[in-house]
Amino acid sequence: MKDDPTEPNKISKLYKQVSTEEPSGKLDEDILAMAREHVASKNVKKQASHNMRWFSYLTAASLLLVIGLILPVWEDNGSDPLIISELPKRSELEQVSNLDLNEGHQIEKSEDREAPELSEFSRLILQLKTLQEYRKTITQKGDLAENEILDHYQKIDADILAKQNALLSILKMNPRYISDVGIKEPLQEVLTEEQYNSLF
Amino acid sequence: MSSPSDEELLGQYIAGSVSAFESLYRRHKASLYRFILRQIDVNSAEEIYQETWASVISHAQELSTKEHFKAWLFAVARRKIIDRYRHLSVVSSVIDIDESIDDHTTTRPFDSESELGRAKMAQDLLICLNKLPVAQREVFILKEESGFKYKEMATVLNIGVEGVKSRISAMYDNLRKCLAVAWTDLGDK
Repeated sequence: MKDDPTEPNKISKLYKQVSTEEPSGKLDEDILAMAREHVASKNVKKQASHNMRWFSYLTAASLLLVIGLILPVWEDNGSDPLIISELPKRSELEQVSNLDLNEGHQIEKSEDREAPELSEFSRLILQLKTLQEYRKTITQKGDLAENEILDHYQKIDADILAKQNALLSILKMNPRYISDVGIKEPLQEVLTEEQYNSLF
Repeated sequence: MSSPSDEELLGQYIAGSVSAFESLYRRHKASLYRFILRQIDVNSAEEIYQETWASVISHAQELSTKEHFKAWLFAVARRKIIDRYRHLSVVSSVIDIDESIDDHTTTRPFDSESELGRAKMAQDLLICLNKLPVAQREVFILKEESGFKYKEMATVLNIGVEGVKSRISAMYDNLRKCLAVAWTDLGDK
């Protein structure tokens, strides 16, 4: 009996013999190049996203650092940001701490230049002057409610008192400052009469 | 050591391995190319082939690892072929035998054992394949080129397993009839 060439298995075998086409080398190359390009572009995106993440971390860290540096200045100058904005900056205070506080009179003598108390003393006087000036103008702050003004007064008064006490303790520990003629006038300006008299 | 599965290679490619893609490509390039080529002209086949791999390249990430990569690959190619047919307005479920096909068939007796005879048989097979309804031709090529089982073929063709079986059965009926006519001389010899 002769085999039937139209049997599915025979057809399949014949088909496999004839079906041998393959894509051209150029097609292969184009497709593989496409894949390589896609991976490369993905890597570039991944790297960019990695860099962006690090940039965000660094920015956040820098921000925290800046906040960490600014906060102590705020606390130093008073707890209320409204007052702080009116006060001279630390750098400005330190700049003037070595200068004459009273019409060209030189408080600082050469041997005093290294005494930290004197620098603190000058700074306190400047701060007290500024605070007291500010206290006089507080009622002109039109955008503040009455209770806010009172609250403000209390804070400023407490701050002034703390600074006056600090000033007094420096002077008591360094009586030689008191003997300086030029210091009397600024002290009279920033201390109460009672405080001033207690020094002499 | 067994070679990595398609899905493993795809995963490696997604992770950035170009060589994994190359392996995947080499594994399926011939069968996919012929699957497309048997159903459309050469120029369109090359375009569709390239577009299919472009889809793999750009949409690999969206493929779940649970999916059967090869079935997905052939399904993408099939959709592109259908789109092309729609575009060309070549929508015909049955391709009629036309006179030009008869020019390729010889009435001269031939020997199935000779080189020339085998070439003639192969040529007749391809001609008969082209005479099949599109859906039947498609199922034959898919079966022969991909080596898919019924279930996988059903996935690619988006029909049920029973539908695949009935299509295959009808396809062989028509193909055998066509080949029987073409190979009459072979039978006589």
